[in-house]
Amino acid sequence: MAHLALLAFWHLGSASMLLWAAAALLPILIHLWSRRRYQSTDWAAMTFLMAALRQNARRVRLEQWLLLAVRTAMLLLFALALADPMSSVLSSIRGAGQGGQTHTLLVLDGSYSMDYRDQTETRFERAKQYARELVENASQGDGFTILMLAEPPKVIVGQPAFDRSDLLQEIDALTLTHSAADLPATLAAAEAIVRETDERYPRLARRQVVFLTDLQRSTWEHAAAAEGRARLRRLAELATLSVVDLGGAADKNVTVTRFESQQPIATVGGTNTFQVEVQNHSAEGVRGERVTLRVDGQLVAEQRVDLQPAERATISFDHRFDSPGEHMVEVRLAEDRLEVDNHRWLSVPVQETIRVLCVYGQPGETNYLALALEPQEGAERRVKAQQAAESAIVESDLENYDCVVLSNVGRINRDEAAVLRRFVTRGGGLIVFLGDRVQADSYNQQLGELAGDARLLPASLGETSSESQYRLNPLDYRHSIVSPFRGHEKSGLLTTPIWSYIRLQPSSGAKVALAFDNGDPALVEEQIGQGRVILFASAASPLSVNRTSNPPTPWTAIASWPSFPPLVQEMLNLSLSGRTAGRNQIVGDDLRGDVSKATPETPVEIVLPDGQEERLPLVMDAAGAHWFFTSATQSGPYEVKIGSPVSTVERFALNIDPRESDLERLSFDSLPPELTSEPAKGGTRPTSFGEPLSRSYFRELLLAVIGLALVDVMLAWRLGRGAA
Amino acid sequence: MESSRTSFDPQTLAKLQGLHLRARHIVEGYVAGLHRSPYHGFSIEFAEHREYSPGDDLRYVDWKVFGRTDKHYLKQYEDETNLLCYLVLDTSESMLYRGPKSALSKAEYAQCLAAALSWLVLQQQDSVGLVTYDSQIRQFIRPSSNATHLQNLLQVMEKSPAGKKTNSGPIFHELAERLTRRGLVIVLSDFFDDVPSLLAGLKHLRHRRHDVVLFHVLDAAEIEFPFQSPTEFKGLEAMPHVVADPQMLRKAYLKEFQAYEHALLKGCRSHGIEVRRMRTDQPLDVALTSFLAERRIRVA
Repeated sequence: MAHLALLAFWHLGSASMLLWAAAALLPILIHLWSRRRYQSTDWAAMTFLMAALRQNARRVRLEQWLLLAVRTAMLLLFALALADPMSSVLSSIRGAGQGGQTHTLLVLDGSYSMDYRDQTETRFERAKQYARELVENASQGDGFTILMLAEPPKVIVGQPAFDRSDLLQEIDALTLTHSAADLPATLAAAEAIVRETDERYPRLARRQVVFLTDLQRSTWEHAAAAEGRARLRRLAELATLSVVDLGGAADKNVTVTRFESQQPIATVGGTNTFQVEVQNHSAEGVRGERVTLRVDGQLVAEQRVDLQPAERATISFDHRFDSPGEHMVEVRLAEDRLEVDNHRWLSVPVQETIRVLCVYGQPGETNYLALALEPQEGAERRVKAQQAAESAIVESDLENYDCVVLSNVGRINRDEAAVLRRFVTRGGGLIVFLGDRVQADSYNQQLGELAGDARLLPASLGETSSESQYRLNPLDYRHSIVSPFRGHEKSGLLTTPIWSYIRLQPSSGAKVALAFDNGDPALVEEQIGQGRVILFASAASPLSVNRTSNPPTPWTAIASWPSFPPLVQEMLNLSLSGRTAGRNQIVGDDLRGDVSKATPETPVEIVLPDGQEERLPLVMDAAGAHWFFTSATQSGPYEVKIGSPVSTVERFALNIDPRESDLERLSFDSLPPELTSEPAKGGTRPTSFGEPLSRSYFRELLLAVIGLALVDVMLAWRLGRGAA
Repeated sequence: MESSRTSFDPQTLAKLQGLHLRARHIVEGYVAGLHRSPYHGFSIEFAEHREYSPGDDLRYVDWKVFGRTDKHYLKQYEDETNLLCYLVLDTSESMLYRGPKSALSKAEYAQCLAAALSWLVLQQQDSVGLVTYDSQIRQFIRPSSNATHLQNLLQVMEKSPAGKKTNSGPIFHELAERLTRRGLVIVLSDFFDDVPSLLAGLKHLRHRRHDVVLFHVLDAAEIEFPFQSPTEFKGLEAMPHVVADPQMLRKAYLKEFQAYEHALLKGCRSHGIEVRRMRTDQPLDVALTSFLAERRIRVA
């Protein structure tokens, strides 16, 4: 082995530990100190003592020095062992230095693409089997940590575990998440684990990170990007990186990529249109793919669709709900090898009607609005609009309404602002029309930028414009409120007569849906909390007039214009989007809900897609009672049961991120060179990953220290201690 | 008189009440009772008769009683020996040593021992004398059996100043010349001296037909050398000071000490001298009782 030692590079795992070598001075100092410090006694039998001294002086001195040398060497070697000297052996003699203990970080791809079933088992099951073999074949003293590549990454074993049975139990208990994969965040977590382990366990001289993945492009393209390369380079400086490719050619995968209701709030008897987008991720076309719609588990509609390779198609289902309440709608495709993306769910709370509170500044201001909101009559009517004076803002229970419309309300006081804010942040819709009674300062103070965190309006109110003939600019119909007007230029939107308006200064997060022909914003909206606020710069009735002219000129004639009813309906639809926004989420998002009239003892339980139930804590704060569920990893329907005295059931749908459904793989060659490839098949564990190999001499040095300790005991015994 | 009270500790003396010091050898004068005396014509005092048993000396049969009673009775006499006991006490500086676990120094222990012996000897109407010495004889008190003699002896013991060095050999030679009447010579010392010279002196005493007993007074520390930490040993009797690690020297010291003790014992045994090791950590009464019991067995 002498020639191997010549090829080895020596370095220390924890050089700072060498400072402990200073402790080697202790025996010398103790020796010198003890020579200066002795007890004193008279002695009669001096003849014998002097004779003993004469005979043994040389031997005693020699043994004293020997004892001192042994103790000093013992402390020096112990400090050296703590410093963990290692020899790194060149790759040409790979394997010669084996024997050092290894820290292996297993990174299992937990994104749902790993649920693809190749033969009889899924790729995730193969990853677990591979991880099992790595653990079972590990050397004594090797440590393992486990990390799940997911969004967000999930740390399974963050500190090195050395017990095989514990590790195997952890691996067996791993379940696939229905999330996508966040490679940058996972690499950051891996780096943190390796660094921490390196500091805490210096004896784990070898470090390796093993990625067990299907190399899906949507996940690994981040590794090929500049940021990903930088992260991998940093990680490679700490450990050898290996990729076990568990992916393969996918023969067929059709996915539901989008499932939406066209109506923000479904009403009983109203026609609800569901749009379904399906995509063929296969290299071959698909004919007659069966798409079914199920409501509360019952099959209600079915369509078939032909899809060319990589083609995306949208189909619609119409459905009428017969009863109000919480409904779960599911769209389902025929089974294929990746089952998890063949479903998509939608939580649809169905109401008798949409309830709108129209608040006027003076009577008659909201007549046209109510008519535009509620064009149908009788049993067919979808919206129920109630007109009320501004005092209703604080006197009514806004929980009974889905949307509040303010029309030319002059001032907003603090209490009204608080009530409106609470209503909007919980998902309510607020539509604000201005007018001649509006005091801009009051709006800005209570609802605008001057309200700080309590801001509700998407824009600050400025001065009133000069009277002129203004026209609306649809801004290329980009916004959802005006997009239905595209192609209907004669519907009156572009000719809507407006002579006065209040200049708006949109906030940074607001969107401008309509503008005036001079460029000033006319219609601005913004999501506030869970709800949405829409602000129109002019009035909603002809009662607002400019009294400076003679005769007084109305602000606008929009209320009697044909574009008004569809515009108001689109505004209503958008304002209501927050009512059900929290009901339909992507896996990885948190589920939350507000509970009115709850007590701290009110029980809240959530039923998971697999039928398991969990009790959720109820958080009480100044804004009311809330519950949170942050550990949802499965897609599907979730049901939250709120007990007495509330006694309601709310349904939620968590769906997969459709980007993960594209099983296109990244070739290994396009990955950064820091990653080495390891065979995924064959069943035997690779004996080593990466290079160079290094060997720790911690154990040998520790044995030497123990040996010297034994020599010390024997010497001490020989020098008199043992006989004493 | 603190030491006197210690020497005459009632508990110690109570244990010695039933014992009688018996001369091991026939000394000058005669002894009635248990031992035959080579010297006739000394006065004896009749005590009682006892019935004859086989083995008794026929010379002590009271024939007059036999004539009257037709039974054999022996005449019993009070022991009225004129035993001479010389207590020779070492008062050199080495006798002042007191070990860490001892209550008395060797000198104090030897004084107690001498006092007790004096008291015992005087109790049985014998004579006791005292010699103190270091490099030369410091006090010489002639033997006497007078009851008031004890106080005199005790005062001398207590007031004996500690000398510097021991020079036992010449001292014993001088004593052999001065002690003209044969007797029991009890030497109380640590005998840290030149052994051949010492033995020569003792041999001279034996030559003068004295019964010689050595009370070898030693401290436990001198026997066991129990020191652990580095120690400065301050030599007594003008010996140098030495700093040493006792743990490393213990074996060698014990070897030297045992060699010395062996030489002393062997030399004494060859000259018929009894040696008793007296540890200063042993109770004085136990040591005395053991000694006297053995002496009685030997004499009987």
